[in-house]
Amino acid sequence: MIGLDQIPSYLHDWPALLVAAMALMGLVVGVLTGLFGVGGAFLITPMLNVLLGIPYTLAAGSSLSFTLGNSSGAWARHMRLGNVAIKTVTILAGSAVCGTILGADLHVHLKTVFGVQTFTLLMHGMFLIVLLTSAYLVWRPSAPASGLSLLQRLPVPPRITIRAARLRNISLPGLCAVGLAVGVLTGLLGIGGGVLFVPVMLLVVGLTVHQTVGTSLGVVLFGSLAGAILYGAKGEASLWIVMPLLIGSSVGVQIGSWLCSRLHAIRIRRYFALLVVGVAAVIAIDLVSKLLAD
Amino acid sequence: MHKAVEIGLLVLLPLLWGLGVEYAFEFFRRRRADKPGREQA
Repeated sequence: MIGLDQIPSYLHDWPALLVAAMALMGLVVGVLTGLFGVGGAFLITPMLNVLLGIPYTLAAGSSLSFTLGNSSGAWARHMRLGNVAIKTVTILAGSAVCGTILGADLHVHLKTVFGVQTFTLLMHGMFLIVLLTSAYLVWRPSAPASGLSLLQRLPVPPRITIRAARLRNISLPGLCAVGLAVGVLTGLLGIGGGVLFVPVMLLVVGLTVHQTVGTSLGVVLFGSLAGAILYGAKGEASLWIVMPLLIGSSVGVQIGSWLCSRLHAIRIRRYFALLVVGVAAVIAIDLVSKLLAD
Repeated sequence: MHKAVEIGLLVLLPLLWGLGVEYAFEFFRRRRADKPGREQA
C-alpha cells in the first residue's frame, strides 16, 4: 500500500501500536475539528514527525488526505447549522487550491535543495512561525475602531457583498490574495489551512466566530483535496496512516461540534489560541533537541 | 496498483468515510428526536 515502506520499522513490528496511536491522535483532532473548524493537519503533520518519526513529506501528504475526510463530515454538519458563507468559501477555495499547487512544488524544491535533515529543521521553524502568529491573532481583541474589517477597508476594487454574513464592500482581490497565501502554506507545510483561516476570517474578512468555523471547514476541504491529489501522485501519502486517524476522529468531530454550539465565542477563541501555543511548544522542544544533537 | 487508483483511494475513501459517518450520526439523532412524538400519538 502507498508509503508503507517509509513508515519507521518499529511501527511495522507493532502494527497494533500504529493503529492505536493513530486512532487516539485522530480522536483528539476530531474534537478540535468540530470545535474550532480546523482540519487538524496542523497538529497531525508535526506530531506524526515529532512523536512517531514519520518523514515530513509522508506526514504532510497523509495528513492532507486525513483532513479531507475529517473536514467533510464536520462541514456537512455546520452547513446544516447555517454556519457557512458559501460565497466566501467559493472564492477562498478557488484561490487556495491554486496556492496549494504552488506550495507543494515549493516543498519538493526546498527538500531537494536543503536535504532531509536540514529540511526537517526548516519545517519545524516554519511551523513555529505559523502557529505563534495564528495564536496571537486569535487571542487579541478583534473589532477595529471603525467597525470595519481589513478587507472592507482595503481600497482595491472590485468589491462584493457577503449577504449570509451581512458584510458589505469586501475587496475581492484582497479575498483572493488571502486564499492564495494560505493555499501556498497548505501545500508547503501539509496543513489544511484552518489554523490560518480561522484568525484570517475573524480579523481580515470580519465573519463571526460561528460562521468562521463552518466557512473555514469548507475552504479546508477543497485545499486538502488538492493537496491529497498532489502528494498522492508523488507516492507521499499512506492509507495506513489516514484510515486509523479517521476512525478515531469520527467520534471526536461529533463531540467537538456539540461543544461548539454550547460555548461562548470568546472562550472558543481563547481555547484555540492556547491549543496552538501548546502544539508550538512541542515542536520547539523537538527543534531545540535536534539542534543540540547536531 | 495503478497510480490513478491509488490517488482515487486516497481521496474517495476519506471523503466517503467522513460523509458516511456524519449522515449516520444525523440519522440516529433524528430517530431519537422523532421517538417522543410517535409515542404521544
